[in-house]
Amino acid sequence: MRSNTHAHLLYSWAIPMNVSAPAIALRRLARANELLLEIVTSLYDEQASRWASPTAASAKWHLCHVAHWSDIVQSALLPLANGQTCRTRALNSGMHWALLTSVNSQSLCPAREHGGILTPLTLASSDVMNDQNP
Amino acid sequence: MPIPSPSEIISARLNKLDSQILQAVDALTEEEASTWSSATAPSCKWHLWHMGRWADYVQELLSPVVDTKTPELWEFAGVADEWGFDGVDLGMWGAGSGLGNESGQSLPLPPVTNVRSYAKEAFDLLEKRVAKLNDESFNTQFTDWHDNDTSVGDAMVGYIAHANRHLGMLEALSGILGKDGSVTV
Repeated sequence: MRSNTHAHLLYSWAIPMNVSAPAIALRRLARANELLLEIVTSLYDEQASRWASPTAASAKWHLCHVAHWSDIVQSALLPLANGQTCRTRALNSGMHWALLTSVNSQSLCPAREHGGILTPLTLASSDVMNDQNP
Repeated sequence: MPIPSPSEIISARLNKLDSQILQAVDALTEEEASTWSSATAPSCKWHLWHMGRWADYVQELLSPVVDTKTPELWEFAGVADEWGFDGVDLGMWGAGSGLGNESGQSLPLPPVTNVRSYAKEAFDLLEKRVAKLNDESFNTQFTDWHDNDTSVGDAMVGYIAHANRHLGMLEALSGILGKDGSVTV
């Protein structure tokens, strides 16, 4: 028994939509970011910081992780926006992380005590894009 | 290395995603897979069933775009009957969306191995459909499940985004169960 049918789904072979790949990526990225922030905004700091088990990272850790990935990728894409070749290994100079952590690394990486996770040192010294490309 | 086309990217990402979903479930026992860690956190088995249903639903929708129209396995292969789902509310699109936790928990899901078999078949069918997309069909008009007028390609990116959220749930639930809770390559 279905609450909805898909009779409303239509096909039209003659009409190309011309939704460009960059437009698709941008729209879906914006939606994912919106959902991430929405989820975290609904939590108290205590809830966001809680590890449900030693193998289940906190919401705050996940947020930090995703933000850092965004930072890495925006840095990698920066040369493309400037009409240059994208060089994923030359990441650090453009990352907000590298600039901001010189001021206060602890506030940016609250889960450091759990070990090996997203410290400025590990990011700066690893080929993150090559080894952990999601 | 040649730069892949958008449809090739979608196909490769979908294949990877499906294998990650199955890999996450394969690490669990039946008891672990069936556990609701709270009344508002569906089990891994539920997530797998939901993903299988979505894949089945979308493979049917895509079938006339790339091939001849074919029905969902859920009904065509008698899965719903075999599992005793006759008359059971399946939520929106028949895929468990919007069911609510109480109804979700009461679904007559069989052992996780059966759910995995169904999901794998649905994943395989959807992967075959998506592998047949080309630039033209990728840009074909498509009114998606939210009644948005878009393209097949955009709808498939939406599908992958949704499925990745459920993969994240599987990983997180595995972590709560004491397994390795992190997403790996």
